[in-house]
Amino acid sequence: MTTADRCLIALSFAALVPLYVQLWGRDTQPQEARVTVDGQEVLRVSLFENHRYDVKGPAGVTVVEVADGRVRCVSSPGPRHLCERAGWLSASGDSAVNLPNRVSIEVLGRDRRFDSVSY
Amino acid sequence: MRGGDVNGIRQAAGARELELPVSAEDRLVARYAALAIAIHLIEATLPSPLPGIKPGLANVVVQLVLARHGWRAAAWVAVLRVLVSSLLLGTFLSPTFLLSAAGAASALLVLAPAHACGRFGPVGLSLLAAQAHMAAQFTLAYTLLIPHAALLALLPVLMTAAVVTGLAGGIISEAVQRTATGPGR
Repeated sequence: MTTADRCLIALSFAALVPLYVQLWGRDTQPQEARVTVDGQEVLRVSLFENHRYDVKGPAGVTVVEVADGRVRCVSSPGPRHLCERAGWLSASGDSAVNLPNRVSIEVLGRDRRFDSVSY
Repeated sequence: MRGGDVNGIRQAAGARELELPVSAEDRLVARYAALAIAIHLIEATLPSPLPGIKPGLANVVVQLVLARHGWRAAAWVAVLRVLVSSLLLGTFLSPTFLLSAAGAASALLVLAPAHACGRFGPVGLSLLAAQAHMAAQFTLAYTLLIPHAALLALLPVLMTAAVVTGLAGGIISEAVQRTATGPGR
């Protein structure tokens, strides 16, 4: 092993530290949720303001509730109520969709737990 | 070259037979490439904790060729390894292949000046190659395949893996270069 090799090994390990700090150190707590109708964003809400929102879609009204850093679909016109069944959404990337009303609710954050979810 | 060959093309009675001249270096490259491909295929069957992480032992062969026969031969072995392995695994032109090819190309680009300057041993060269490989792979994956911020969270782990596997590969390379006699020798 040459001197250059040793320097390089030390440098390589040292360079990993800022990488971890930069990419893992930041706060990853989600801050906002996005509500879209027909793919168009209609609402962007802070997860820290408890409130109920009525979102109008082609099939009726979807009621979205924000409470304590979480968001959920309270009621929606879908026959199987998949949107409501998704429950409280709190992690970044969590989402609930109501297809008849074309409404989707998604928690936004820098890091998402999942790339996509299928039912 | 046999008698009767004209630029490597030989006219046989009746049928036209094409024979390409094979140099000693071609045979050498082919043997090393076969070895690298075999290692690559064995590695492909091993389970990986994360997509993008594997031991990369096939690169020990590339390092060996680099030390013994220079960058040109090493580049040939690396390119053949990526190409033939992808054909055998059925991943040719798939994202897996693109990642593999980008990694190998970037490693070769880094190895050229690093090898030429003569300061690095097998360990340093292997480490540089592994990091270049991972960096290129990640850049491609991030820009082309999955342009999502979540992928960035994987980068520290992937680079750590690159350092560890590069180091391990380098130590193996050094041991191999000290003791083994290669094919064609």
